[in-house]
Amino acid sequence: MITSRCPSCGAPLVFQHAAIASAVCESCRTTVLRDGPELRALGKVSSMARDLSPIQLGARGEFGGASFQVVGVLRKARERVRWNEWFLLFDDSDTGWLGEGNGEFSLFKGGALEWPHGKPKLNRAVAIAGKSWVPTEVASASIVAADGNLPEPVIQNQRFDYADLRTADGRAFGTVDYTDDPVRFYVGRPVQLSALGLTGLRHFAGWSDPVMVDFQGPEITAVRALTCSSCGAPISVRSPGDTVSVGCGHCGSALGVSDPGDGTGVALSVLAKGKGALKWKPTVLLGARGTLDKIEWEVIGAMRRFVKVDGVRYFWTEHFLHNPYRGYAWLIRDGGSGHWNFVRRISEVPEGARLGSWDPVSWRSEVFKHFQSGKANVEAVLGEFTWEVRAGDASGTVDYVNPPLMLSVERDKGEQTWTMGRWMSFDEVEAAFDAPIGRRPEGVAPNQPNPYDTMSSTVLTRTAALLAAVVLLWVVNAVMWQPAPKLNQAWTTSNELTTEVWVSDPFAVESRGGLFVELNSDVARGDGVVHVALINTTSGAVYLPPLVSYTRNSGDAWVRQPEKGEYVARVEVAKAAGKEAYTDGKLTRLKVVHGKSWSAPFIWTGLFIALAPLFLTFARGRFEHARWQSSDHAI
Amino acid sequence: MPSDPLKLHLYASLALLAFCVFVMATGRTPDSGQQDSAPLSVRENPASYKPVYGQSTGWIPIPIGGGGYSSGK
Repeated sequence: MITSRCPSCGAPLVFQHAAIASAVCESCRTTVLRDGPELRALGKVSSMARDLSPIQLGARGEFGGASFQVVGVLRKARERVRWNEWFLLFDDSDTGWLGEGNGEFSLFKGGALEWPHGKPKLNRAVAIAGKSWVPTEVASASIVAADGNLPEPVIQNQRFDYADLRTADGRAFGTVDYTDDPVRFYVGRPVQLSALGLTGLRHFAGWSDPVMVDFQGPEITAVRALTCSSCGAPISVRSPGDTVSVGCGHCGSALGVSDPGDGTGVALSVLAKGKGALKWKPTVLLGARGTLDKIEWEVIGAMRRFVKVDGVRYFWTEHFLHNPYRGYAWLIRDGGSGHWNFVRRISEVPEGARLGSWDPVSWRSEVFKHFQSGKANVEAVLGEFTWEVRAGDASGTVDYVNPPLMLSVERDKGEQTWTMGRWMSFDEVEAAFDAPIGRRPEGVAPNQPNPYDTMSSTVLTRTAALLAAVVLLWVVNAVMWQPAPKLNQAWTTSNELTTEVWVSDPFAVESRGGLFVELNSDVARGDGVVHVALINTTSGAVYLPPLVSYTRNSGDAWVRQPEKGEYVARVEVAKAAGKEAYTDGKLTRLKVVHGKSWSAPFIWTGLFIALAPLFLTFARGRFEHARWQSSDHAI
Repeated sequence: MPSDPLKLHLYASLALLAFCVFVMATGRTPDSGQQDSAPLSVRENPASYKPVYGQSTGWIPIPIGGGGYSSGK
């Protein structure tokens, strides 16, 4: 560490490391170049407004096994885009940069690579160090603010040409700065702020975080109170560091948010004049806070979008969420079904994704099937967004599903943005915001988990239990209702008689229970018909069980709860005319059993219960059919 | 009436199981055929019972050319 004095105002000036060549004087905002023992004042530069980022000078963290300290910052901006680059000093004397923009972070550590190409062209891949890099941005920007120690001196509004590139899989991020001589290519990778073990962050009033809890310094209010440039209505900007456009709910105007480079951080201008107050309101209002996936989010923007299919508009609402320590997310509610999805941007590009193709794509070894492609239109905009958006904007969208996840890509003006959504239940969202969130969803969402997928073991267990119950009941039934034979008598026909009538031996029915009657006759149905009547000689009740059919003189039948008393069976063989000879010597046997248990209900119940896996398969298939009905692949 | 096929199957299974319990408890059996009543004369001489012919009793006349049943002989 080298301490010195500002050559412009004399205020103390600290260089954190001997290798650091530049510092910005906190007192007079002069950029000072350290050239050996000499210090030279080079110009002025604005300080960065404190509420633009949770990171501040002095914050510490870890990356790649090495600790670092944040010692400087550059705030850069071009039209509608701004970002911060935090200069890091590692304990191993290495330096690096932490890029911060649009809620996303990239960390660059170590030296830069040589840049062997000329100025890259957008989306035209170049090869560097054995990898293919795709330029995602080629532009010019300027420095609007700076603080602390920097590797090189900067001055206000200093311009530079640059290009940002990504590898095809999105795992590496690179940037090339053409102001350098020689031109150098810095390679880094996307990081999560929560994974850097940061301490000494700024404490934004009203915000906490389960991981990033070590704050330093006073609480800062991160809400800017501004007025609409079109109608003068009050506008709150809750994310002044990244917000690029704001929709005014009072007049419907789209306002641009820029960094004027005077240290204030934000200024509003009219992008498109509105036609009056918005009649539409989002389901979750702006300013509402909810905890989703253990992180607290605030709704800072909302837009109503639609796709048009066969002349019909299908609407949904996108709530834009913000957490100063976690970046941004979306909470999307389908206007028709009412289903919810929690969506975050991803840096990795799925494999197999090609424009216009319906082939499945894979992401981290998971396969996602194409669900639908369309053109999403913006109907209304309210609140803040980190990109420029207004009513009437349209972009191509493609959705791929692997329940409960949905991969989506949105393509607009040569840029594409990939997001990952997770289906959320109504109860989960309502509990998160602790407020009414509209009606319960209907139908099946594209990425809604199939509830029947996890029910196999439950269904099998339940089926086994029910079958066991049936078997138990059957056994008990058979034990309780022991059959008592009452009659087992046979007669032989004679060919001399056209009608033969036999009366059986008497039998008694003294208790409750049905009679089971069985008839077996060798008399052919075409030669005659056998009639059976059970006559209660005590009460006079007569039961006529249907024992014969059109084809046979044999069969069985039940008589439920016959009256108690003495019974005889009257058996009559009525012969067809001229058929007497054919019935000679034919045996007819009648059996009557009392109290026999009825097994059929138990058998049929058991068979029906055993169909449960079939019902499960049907239910699962019906759910999937409903899911795909709203896709491009509906049957 | 639940629209979920599995719930439908479960409720139907439980209803059938309840019926099985009812059958077990009461010894209920199915019933078929008709019932008639016989005067005292028939009770004393069951062979003299004159049956009622009809499809439901299974007493089905055979369609043949000439002749037919001669009952009660």
